[in-house]
Amino acid sequence: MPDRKLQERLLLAREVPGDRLVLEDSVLLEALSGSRALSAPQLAALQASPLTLKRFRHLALQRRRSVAGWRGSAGMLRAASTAVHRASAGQPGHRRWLLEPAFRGCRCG
Amino acid sequence: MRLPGTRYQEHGWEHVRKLLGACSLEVFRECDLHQMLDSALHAGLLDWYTDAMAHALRPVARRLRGETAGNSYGDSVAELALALLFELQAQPSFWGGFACAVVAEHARCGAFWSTEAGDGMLRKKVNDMFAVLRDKVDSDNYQAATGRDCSPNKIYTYRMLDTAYREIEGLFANWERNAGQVGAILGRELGGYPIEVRQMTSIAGCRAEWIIRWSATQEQFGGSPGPLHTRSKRFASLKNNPDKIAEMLTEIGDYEELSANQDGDWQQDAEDATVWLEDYWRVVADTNEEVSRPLSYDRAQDGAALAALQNEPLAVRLAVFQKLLGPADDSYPDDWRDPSTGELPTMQQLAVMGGVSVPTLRKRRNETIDRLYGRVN
Repeated sequence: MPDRKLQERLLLAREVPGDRLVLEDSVLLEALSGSRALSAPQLAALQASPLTLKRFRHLALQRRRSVAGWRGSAGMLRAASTAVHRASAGQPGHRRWLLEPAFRGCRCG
Repeated sequence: MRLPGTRYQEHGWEHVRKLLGACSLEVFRECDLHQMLDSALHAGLLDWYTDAMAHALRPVARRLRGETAGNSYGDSVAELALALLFELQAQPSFWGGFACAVVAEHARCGAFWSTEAGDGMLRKKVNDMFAVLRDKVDSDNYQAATGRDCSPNKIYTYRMLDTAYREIEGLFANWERNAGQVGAILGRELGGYPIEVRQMTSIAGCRAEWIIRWSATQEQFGGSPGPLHTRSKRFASLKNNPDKIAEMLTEIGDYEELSANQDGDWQQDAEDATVWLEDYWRVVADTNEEVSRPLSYDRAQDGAALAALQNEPLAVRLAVFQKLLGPADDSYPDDWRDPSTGELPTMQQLAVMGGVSVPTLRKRRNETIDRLYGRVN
């Protein structure tokens, strides 16, 4: 999808002197979960700050990965296989909990 | 050194810097640098420079693909160099800084680039431009990854502390030969093998006062003042703030451990990379619903400008993609690519395809990009 890549570039690759994170994570996360929409000035602030948009991007991708992980997606299976590898390589056992949800996910989906 | 989000802080940076320096000297041979003296020409020169550099770097990238990693995330040296070049294109003030340095040097000693020392002087200025830019890019990436404030200066400070730790590590490894300075760092007389040498297994185990004492004793043992004790006073306030130093050392150490243990599942999946745009459009739509009327916002944000791109001839469209995403993005369909290189056609080929001259194509490409960014209507 080259168009989407291009649009991403247009949003994020802009020079804004003195740019900084202008919205709290809690505000961005509420907007992402749909529990509380951004106000018009908040949206304007987000759109004027490529740095805050990058933070938004990071949180959005993190949220998608964690949702996908609990459904037993490839991402979580990979995490699980890594955990197996670690366990067999004698890594600390407390990481084995990772196996649980992924295998449960496998059965469901 | 690794920190969340950063890409340009490991040893591979030296290779990236050298590659950018060598390619720059190559492309500057094709340019009359007197043009730099006219600030009205700077934007056009940046356009020329980024085109010429991308062209010079591509064969290197193809040759070195998968060979030289520039960091432990697996980004190759050439990929990192190209990515930084694209950052330069997006952040022209760094090019402005370079131009100022060239103008100032010219005021001191004329057309220095044609003298015997010219290459070295020019390379130094290129190095400085990319060095400042990489810290800016990495401080932005750190902020995006952590949500915590950062600055290029702070990245520089992290790196100074990391380097100081490596120096101390080296002294500790040869503590017998360096007993005088190791004793001064530890703040006691050495009576045999110092236990601290065995206890310090990572940067997280390095104590802030050791850094301060190492820096304080560098003039005596190393011949020149340590970074916390130079006349420039860049880090002068830090030397009285061991808590701050300790916090930063711990952060570097913790992240190094975390990233080393996770085998890459902290890396972002390529197929994920743009799905966040769907979240973005939804969030925009949610706000519009709240305020019950559509907001007018930057054209770059709404996709309308992108739709307009579809009306441009293919040669212009491909020139735009080449300029903004590079000639070899994974997302390009096969029928866009030149089968002999696997990349988009060159500007010369695109000009032939479009039946126009290269300067005309470049002009139309740049006008389209300005419209996409909403810089003109």
